[in-house]
Amino acid sequence: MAVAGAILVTATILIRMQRTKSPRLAIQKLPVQIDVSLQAIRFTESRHGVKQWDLTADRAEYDKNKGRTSLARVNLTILNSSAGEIRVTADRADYDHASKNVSLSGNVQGKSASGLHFTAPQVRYVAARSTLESPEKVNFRGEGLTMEGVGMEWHTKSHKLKLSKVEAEVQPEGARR
Amino acid sequence: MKAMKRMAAVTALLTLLAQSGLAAAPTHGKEPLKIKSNELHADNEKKTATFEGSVVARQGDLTLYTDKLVISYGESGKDLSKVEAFGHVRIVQGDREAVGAHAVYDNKGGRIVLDGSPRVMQGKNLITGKEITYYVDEQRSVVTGGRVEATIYPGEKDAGAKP
Repeated sequence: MAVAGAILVTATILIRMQRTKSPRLAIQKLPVQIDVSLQAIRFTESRHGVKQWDLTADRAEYDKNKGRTSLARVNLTILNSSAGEIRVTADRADYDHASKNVSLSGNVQGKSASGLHFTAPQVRYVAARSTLESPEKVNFRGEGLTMEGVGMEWHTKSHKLKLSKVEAEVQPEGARR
Repeated sequence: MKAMKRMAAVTALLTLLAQSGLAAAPTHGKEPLKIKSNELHADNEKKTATFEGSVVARQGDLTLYTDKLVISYGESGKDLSKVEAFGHVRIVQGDREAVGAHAVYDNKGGRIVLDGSPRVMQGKNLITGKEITYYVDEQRSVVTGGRVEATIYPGEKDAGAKP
């Protein structure tokens, strides 16, 4: 009788142990190609001691092999003391550590200090030329001005803009609401 | 004698134009200026926007074709101060047409000053001169400077027309 009781207790313990699940890993594994993943990051690019741009993002994933950081929910501020800053936001961006170029994509929106807004599917900040470039259609909106075109080259130092296949509408002062 | 007749014709034409009761309320200065071109170069420092290559600018019933159109903004960078066209300028407004090598459009004043062998045509009527001021809303033109030439067909439907 005592033996039967011992067997029953042992069997119950074994069954309960089998039912107990092992705990989940608290941290999910990173994809193999990602070396570092960070939340709420801020990059600052300086040249000759002068700040060129500030970049903040909700998330960043650094891929050492490609020398690239993929960013999500990005805010890029290009600084220029004479012509004022240009702010660009986008859903995603890739920062290339070698060229220091930033490729922004997904709902890209920008605004200059002079009040000129633009939207585009994708825009690339080319560090060597200090330009914002886009091969795709870009829409502009400013006070009394709407404009669209392709092949944008916006020099962020001089604020000179080049655009191709342009369609613009200028509202004279008296016609504005 | 021929020159005198021509002068008389021009005088008559200019008188007709000056007396033209067709002056409409100015509307062009308030209508949007729609521009298409192959390229645009905007310069924030100079406050200019240069449209180049097959430029077509429309404002109301007026269409301007040119090689290059330069829009200058005022000090604030927001108000149009000057619109200037360079190369193969052609202005079409109804049956009135003007051509020249260069034009300056005063949007507020509603006039376009054409130079570089300017000509204004309406129907068969034609005037040429060194410089022609084309009034957009008043549908009249004034020739100034140099030798004026006019060809008018008084008996035609467009007699007394206002090129």
